[in-house]
Amino acid sequence: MADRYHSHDRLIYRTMLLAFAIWGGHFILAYGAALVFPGTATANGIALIAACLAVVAIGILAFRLPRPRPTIAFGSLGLSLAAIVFGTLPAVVG
Amino acid sequence: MKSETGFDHALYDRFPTEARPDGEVRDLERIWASPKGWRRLTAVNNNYVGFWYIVTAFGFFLAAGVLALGMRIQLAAPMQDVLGVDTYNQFFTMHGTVMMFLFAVPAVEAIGIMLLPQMLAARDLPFPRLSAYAYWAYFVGGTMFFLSLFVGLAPDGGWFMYPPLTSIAFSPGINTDFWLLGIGFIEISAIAGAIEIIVGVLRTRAPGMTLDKMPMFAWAMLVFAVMIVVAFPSVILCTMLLEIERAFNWPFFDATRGGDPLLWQHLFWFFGHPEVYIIFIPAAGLMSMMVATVAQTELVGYRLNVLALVATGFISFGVWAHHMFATDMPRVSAGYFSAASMAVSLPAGIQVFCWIATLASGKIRWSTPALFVVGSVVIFTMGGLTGVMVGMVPFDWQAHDTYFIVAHLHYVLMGGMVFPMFAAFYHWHGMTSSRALSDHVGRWVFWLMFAGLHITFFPMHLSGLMGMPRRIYTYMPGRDLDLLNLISTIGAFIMAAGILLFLIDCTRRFRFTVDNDVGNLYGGGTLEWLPTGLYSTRSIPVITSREPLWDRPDLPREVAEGRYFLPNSATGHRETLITSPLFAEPQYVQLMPGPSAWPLSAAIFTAGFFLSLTVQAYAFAIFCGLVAVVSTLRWVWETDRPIKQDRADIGAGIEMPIAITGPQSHGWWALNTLLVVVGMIGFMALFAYFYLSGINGEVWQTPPPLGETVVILGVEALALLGAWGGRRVLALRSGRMAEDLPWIIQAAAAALLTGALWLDVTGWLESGLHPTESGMGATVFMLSVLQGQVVAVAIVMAIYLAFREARGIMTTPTNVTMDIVGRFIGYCAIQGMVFTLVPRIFPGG
Repeated sequence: MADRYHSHDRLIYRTMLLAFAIWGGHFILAYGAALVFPGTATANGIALIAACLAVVAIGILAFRLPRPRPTIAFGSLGLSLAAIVFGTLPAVVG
Repeated sequence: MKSETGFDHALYDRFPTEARPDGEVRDLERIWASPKGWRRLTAVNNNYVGFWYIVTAFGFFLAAGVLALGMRIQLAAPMQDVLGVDTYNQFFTMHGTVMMFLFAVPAVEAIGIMLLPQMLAARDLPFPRLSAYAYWAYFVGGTMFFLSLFVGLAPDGGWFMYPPLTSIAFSPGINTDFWLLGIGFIEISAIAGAIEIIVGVLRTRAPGMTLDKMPMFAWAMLVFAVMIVVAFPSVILCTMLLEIERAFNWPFFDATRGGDPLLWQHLFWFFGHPEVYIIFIPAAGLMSMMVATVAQTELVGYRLNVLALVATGFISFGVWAHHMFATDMPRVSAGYFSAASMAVSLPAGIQVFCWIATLASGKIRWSTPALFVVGSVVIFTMGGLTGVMVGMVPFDWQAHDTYFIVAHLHYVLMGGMVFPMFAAFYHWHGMTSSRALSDHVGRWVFWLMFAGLHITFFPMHLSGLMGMPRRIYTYMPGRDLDLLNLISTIGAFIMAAGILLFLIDCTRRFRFTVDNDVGNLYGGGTLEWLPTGLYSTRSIPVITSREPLWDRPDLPREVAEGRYFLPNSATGHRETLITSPLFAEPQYVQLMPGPSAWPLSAAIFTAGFFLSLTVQAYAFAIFCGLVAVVSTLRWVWETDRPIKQDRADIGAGIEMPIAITGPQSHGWWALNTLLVVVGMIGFMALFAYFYLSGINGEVWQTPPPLGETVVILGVEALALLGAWGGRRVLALRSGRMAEDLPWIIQAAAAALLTGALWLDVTGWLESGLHPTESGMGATVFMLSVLQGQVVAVAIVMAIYLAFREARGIMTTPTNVTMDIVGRFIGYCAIQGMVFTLVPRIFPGG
């Protein structure tokens, strides 16, 4: 019982950190591209590709969660996904 | 049973044991006794250091508050001349700087140092002398910095010191240098405290206190300290860059020579905005604990709160450039920061809703802390809403640098930090005072402060929207600003009256104590309310829930009878139990150092070093620097002291090793955290290099030949091998004397690093690059300066290692000091490789 509880905890906190690290990675890539290629389609393209990769990574993490999905781990992924989608809008609208 | 470390959880069932003899308590009291009289200044125990820290931080809060009152008197009516323009500039610069650097962050660290050991049931934080050093560095450096105001040398360029205003051309006096060197030094103190807190929270929790059972304040302090480690190196770097530009004419921020003033803004705000959350997050942790106590129920959404803290910690690093919307940032870049600025309000919202739900689900006892808690939720929410407004680029363009921003930031900081601090003071003062403060007076304090805050800052929204710029020392009559400013001034004095009342009550009733406190006034459920002495709790309990005192009413008595871990001094020395980072399983007994004057000496002479640099007394600076280094080495000399005993009974017949090395040791965690700090400084320097190459690629020149690069990398690789080899040779000498070879290998590695640095610098000079000629020269040679700093430390470490071997205290097959020195030199080699390779491979334009 204790084992299951502990590994459950570990999974939650690991997923939480990974979810926000993915957001961080996406942000750095998108902003870095805008810094290196300011005002170009390349920068927007990089941001969009980074967003797709980030969404896929979030999806994989969500898929790998045991059922029923731990609320906090799933919530972290949702929050991170919202921030990623929100953070991609500037690249979409230019 | 499988566990994180191999510790058998069934052993927890042996507790509580039978009551232990009372004589063991007397042993603990003797071992943990603090020096008396003036020697009290050498105390390193968290009860003393934490209390001094809080008092000093509050002193700076009052001093900065007085400056604010001075500014409000000046602005009470148009065209006044109470403060001249120069004095006014110094006042607002010092007000912002002191509040942010000398009050907010230190106050939070102070509360951490004071509360965390008791909250985690550790004997003390793992590096008590580091805490003492952090405090004294802060006290001495902060006091000298503040005193600059009285000799007209206080900085006057605003608390964020933008160049070119602060470059030597426009600020030729040493006022700016006071800020740059003073703040850089004080940040060292903050980082020292953060390392202590990270290792303390992760490695000294009571057995069974898994991450999921940690008090919310401990979570908050963990996130806070990690954020400091990541964010503060940026401000240390940018203060170094500006000081070097001012002193040696290296053009980092000079646009005419390939630098860029906006580089400062990026580096400053990469620290500056997370700083706001660095201040808010610990206060949020305190709030989470207080709302539970105020409502006498468990916090609603504990894990959601943890999620919100971690999310805030991450996302706050994506918002720095929202302070730069009014520069010519590309629209898409501004969009990213605008989006992140709004996204960060999501986790803040989660926390606020959890607090409201907790208050709604319990029965509120309207005490003084409860009033401050509820008041801070109201104020912080108002500040947060205007924050979302200024997160929108077009609105920010309108409100930028107006009093609207002044109103916004004060609502956020007062609601997010100052009010929670006052709530916390009332809530926890029973731990450190032999008499309780008056609840009746406390209510007056709250209402005066609450009303004063709104009367002061709410009108500023209006004056800002009406176009009143911030940082002006007066304004013209007839622009409808007179009444609003007068109201703000009246409000400031009402708030000051509340704080004065608080001081009067403290003077009347607060009496500091370490062993006769009034205790748990508001019925908190966490471990800091266990009976304690200077040794913290008599024994270290096994934790099974988040509010153990609510769930196990007998726990205080059982702990006081010594029926849990470490009921006595297992080694006859100061010690604490080191537990694993995730599940807090006991791992080993750490020997802890006692009182010492060396941290105090190191702090005084470090401050002397920076002050001497400021006034350009370079010979005295070298003297102070040498004394500071010797003091530091003398202090750490006693911290790795092998004893004959290698295992200890930690209670119930469970034996644990004493002082281990490698990834399981707390020293390994501290070193790695320090390396993250050093690495972040390097990372931000590389950012500066790439940033300037992108902006001013035309001044970028061809790098030195590839063959030379390969030679330098080879030398650095040899140094890396040496760093590993020294430890390996020591390991092979198991059971024998260490002798000279291990330290000689480490010294050779340090010498190789010196040679590699020399080759790198001369290579660039021969290629025609010079640090004063271009942004490229400045940034490339800045990388060399940074590498030179770590190599100098590596050389000192190698010499120190030789001394330890000569005194016969280099244990085999492993040794903590050798482990640390080897790993640090290894890091230096890797950093050297990166710093060599990057500018030579990516020469930009």
